[in-house]
Amino acid sequence: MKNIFYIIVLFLFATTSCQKVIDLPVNDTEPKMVIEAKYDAVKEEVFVKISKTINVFSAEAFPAITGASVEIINSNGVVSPLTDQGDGTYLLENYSPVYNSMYSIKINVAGEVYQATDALVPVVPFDSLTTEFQPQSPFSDAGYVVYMHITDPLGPNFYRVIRKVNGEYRRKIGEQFMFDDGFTEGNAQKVPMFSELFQIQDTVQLELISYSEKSYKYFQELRDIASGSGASAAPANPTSNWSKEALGHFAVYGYSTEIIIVKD
Amino acid sequence: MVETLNFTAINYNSMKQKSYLILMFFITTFFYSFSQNITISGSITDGRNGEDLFGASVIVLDMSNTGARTNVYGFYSLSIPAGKHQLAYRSTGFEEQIFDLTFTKDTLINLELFMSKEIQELEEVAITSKRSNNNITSSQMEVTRLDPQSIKTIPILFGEQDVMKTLQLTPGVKGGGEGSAGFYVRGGGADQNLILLDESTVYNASHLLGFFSVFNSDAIKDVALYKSGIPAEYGGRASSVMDVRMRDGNNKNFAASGGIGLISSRLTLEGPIVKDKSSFIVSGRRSYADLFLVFAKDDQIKDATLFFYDLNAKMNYKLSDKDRLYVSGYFGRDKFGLNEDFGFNWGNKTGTLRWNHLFNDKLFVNTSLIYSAFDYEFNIGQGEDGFGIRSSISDFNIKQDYNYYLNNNNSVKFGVNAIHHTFEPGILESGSNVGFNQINLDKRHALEIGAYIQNEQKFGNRWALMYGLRYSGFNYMGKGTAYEFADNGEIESERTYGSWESIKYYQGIEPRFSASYIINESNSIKAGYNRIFQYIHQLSNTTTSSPTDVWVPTSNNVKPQIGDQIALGYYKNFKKDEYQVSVETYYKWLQNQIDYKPNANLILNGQIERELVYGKGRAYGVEFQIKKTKGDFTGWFNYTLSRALRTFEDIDAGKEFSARQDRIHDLNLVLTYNINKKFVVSTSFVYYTGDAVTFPSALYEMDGYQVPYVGNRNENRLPDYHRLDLGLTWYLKERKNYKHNLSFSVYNVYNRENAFSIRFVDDFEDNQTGQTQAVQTALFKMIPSITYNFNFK
Repeated sequence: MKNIFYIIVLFLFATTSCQKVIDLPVNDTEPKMVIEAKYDAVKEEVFVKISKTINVFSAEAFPAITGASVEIINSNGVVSPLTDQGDGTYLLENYSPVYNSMYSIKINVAGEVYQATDALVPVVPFDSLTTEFQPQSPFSDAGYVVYMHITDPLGPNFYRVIRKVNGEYRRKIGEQFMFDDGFTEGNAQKVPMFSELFQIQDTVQLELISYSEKSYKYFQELRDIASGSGASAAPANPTSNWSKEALGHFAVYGYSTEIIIVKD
Repeated sequence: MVETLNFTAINYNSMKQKSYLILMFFITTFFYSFSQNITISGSITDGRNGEDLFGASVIVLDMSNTGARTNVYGFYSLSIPAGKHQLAYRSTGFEEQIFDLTFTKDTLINLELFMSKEIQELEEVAITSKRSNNNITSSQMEVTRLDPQSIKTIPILFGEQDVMKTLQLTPGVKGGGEGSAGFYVRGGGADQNLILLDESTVYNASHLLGFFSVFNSDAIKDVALYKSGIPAEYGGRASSVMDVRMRDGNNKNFAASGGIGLISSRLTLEGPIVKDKSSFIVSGRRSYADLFLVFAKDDQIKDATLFFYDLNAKMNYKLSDKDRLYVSGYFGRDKFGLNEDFGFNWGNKTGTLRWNHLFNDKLFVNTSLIYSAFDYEFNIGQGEDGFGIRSSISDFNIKQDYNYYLNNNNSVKFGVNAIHHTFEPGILESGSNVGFNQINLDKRHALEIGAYIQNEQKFGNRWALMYGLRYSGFNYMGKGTAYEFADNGEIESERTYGSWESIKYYQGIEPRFSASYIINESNSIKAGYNRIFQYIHQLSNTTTSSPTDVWVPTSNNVKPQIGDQIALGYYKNFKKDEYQVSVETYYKWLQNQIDYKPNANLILNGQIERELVYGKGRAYGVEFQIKKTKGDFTGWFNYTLSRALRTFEDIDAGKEFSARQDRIHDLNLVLTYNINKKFVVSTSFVYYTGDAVTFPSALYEMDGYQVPYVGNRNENRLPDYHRLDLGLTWYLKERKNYKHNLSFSVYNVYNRENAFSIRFVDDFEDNQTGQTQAVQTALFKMIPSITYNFNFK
């Protein structure tokens, strides 16, 4: 919702404005720890990536931190270690999920211990997907909008839609579609996926992720910062859930998948 | 018993000015108990059109340091011993008139002043032949005034003389930057300026893109901007007061003036309803900024609508010598639309009903009833497939202001003011095909009151003091629900209140003080102090002000802002007031400043207060200015060195940071040159340190994206802003009763791309280096314009 306003205001100015690359000094800070951790309950995979920050204009690759000890702990206290892949990532496969329970993760990097927890909330499934034609508008060409039919359960729900079109995942930060049920609590919703318009014969696969509130907030804040709009006067780094100062986040989630082929 | 003597068409012989003066002179004499002092009072008006002259003066030449100034309605009152006196009536730009009279009783003198024949020929340029050292002798400090003569000579940009743009070229006042409507005075926030049009609050004083203000200069009589030592009659905004008065309309002849230009056109019609008693003025302006879009590449954008309009209307009626009634209104709107599927519009409307009344020759009162509102609307899609969002603020205001001319040395003002505010934070209505629930955020209500008393006192020949006290109060009330929040934003409690039931009451005492010491006719020192409580706040978490910024009241969660400011200034005139130099310094403390939690959502938020954090601010600086006011070459140069800083516990762990408007260096140069009677050239050059902004200080990877690590708040700077504008006005051959000119102007002559925003983008130029680059967006390059202006009587 908020994005629309930024888009509109910037849109007005985009009509006569000019953009160019300039040389500008920034105050590079000393490198900070970055830990990305996620438990994909559908693929049953726990994935952790440990890295550090680099300077703003640097051309280097992001450093990979190997040799850390990484463990995931379920709500019964059972500890399962992840295997160091040697490239800064750590993996555990075939880890069965228990919905409605808490998971924690514990990471030891050279004696520094980082911990975080997240809740695995039940997955809200798609009822169905439909399409509708939308004629050409100033914002886009003509195309089909995919409508997601979901029955939103009572209580707060937080969603993110990952789409895969004709076999390709849409990974650009500006293309991420996230919404909560603030506008539509408890209703059978028909949510338009405005992020992209499709053409006939497109195969669209949607994954509807159900996040915990903390993870949803984190990914929203991450998207706002990463999209580089620069429009917010109160920018801040996303609130991570690590016990010790580190960037990144530990998220636990499941999703429901649905495919539709666009027809007339 | 009253004896009335009417003198008509007396030709008054006075020194060198004999042939210019045709004087209408009414003397009414009263029988009065014998007292040593008699009172001379009345009004001073412009003889051409009957407009009241504000700040005109009556000086008693045979007594030292004795005189009076007219108030904003042109009324003056002077107490002197009975007997023979020589009175001089003056106003900047007008020919002085001197009378030798013997007074035995209280006397009413209503006088019309005229410009001398010489001056009338070069009407567009202000030339004064008398001492114009008001800047030295006035006890009111930190006032930047644009009186009718000055307004005519300000540089023309886009074919118009814009009072807001001109004020932004004066020291201490900084524009919000390109595309922005707000302005900052001495480091204060954009919502800390009280903008009044005929006493009515204007919430959004600029049109789209920040180029044009809502004030149509053709209809404006006077503008006063108070930066410090703010008089007690004003309250409610912590940093400044911009008091704009409309003209009343020519009450002698019909007149029309206007202009037709490339970017906007305007028309003003005025005239008497009853000659010398009643007049009207109607002024309209419309832009067709759609022309900007001609430069756009996209076909659909080319067809978009983008325009604004303003309409001012005013009527006044002199019921008697003691009573005068005014009705005035303003209505303006900005519209932006892309076909029927998208529209965005906003605007102000105001209406004022006023009554001037003279109790006697010493006590003048003005009573006003005012309505003022601002709203914006978004419409996306149509009918069942669309939705609309609306937000507004509206005020009902009643006030009464008294001027009591106690004696020669004391001029007292006192009054009361009550404003009822209604805030409509947001309504969302959507068609059934759009999955949004209807949202109707509760309206919020408040009552803001004020009462003040102030005295302007003269001590001997050199000292003048203005001291006063204002009491202000704010009642945040129902009908509505008040929330209490925990630190993490969760609602801890809520309680519903009935209509007019008080939720929270705040009050404050605001001392106001201003002093001047006149060293001699060419030198003076002034000092001032004021404290002001501000009870309504404009929330904006985008980096430029936009019409969607939300106005919120002080409440059980949000405290009133408090501004304290001290200021000191030294003024010196050279070469018989031709050059006016001033150096002013100030220090301002701000309490209960508002900022936002990260990624706060201000749109349609029913519990918006949970997104706020509070802190304090300070601002200080020194402003230097030199003005040349006479001759073919006129203009000014000013340089300001200043800081505007903020401290918030919740931001950067309480470390002091720059406010966005912390422009350390600020420089303005304005020059006007009369080449000859036909051509006038003007130029303005602006330079200021780039705004303070927050840049990333590192990069990392997360969730497959490259993410900037946000650095400390406002620790970085946009590139410096500078720009040169040029204008040329060609005065065409005059005909009887018809004057016209052609005005050319170029904005941003050397085509500098001044930064509107900076983004950090991965590989913007697609060089495959994998490096992040800083990308600057600039709004306006060089923009030329032509306007044809006319004036018809």
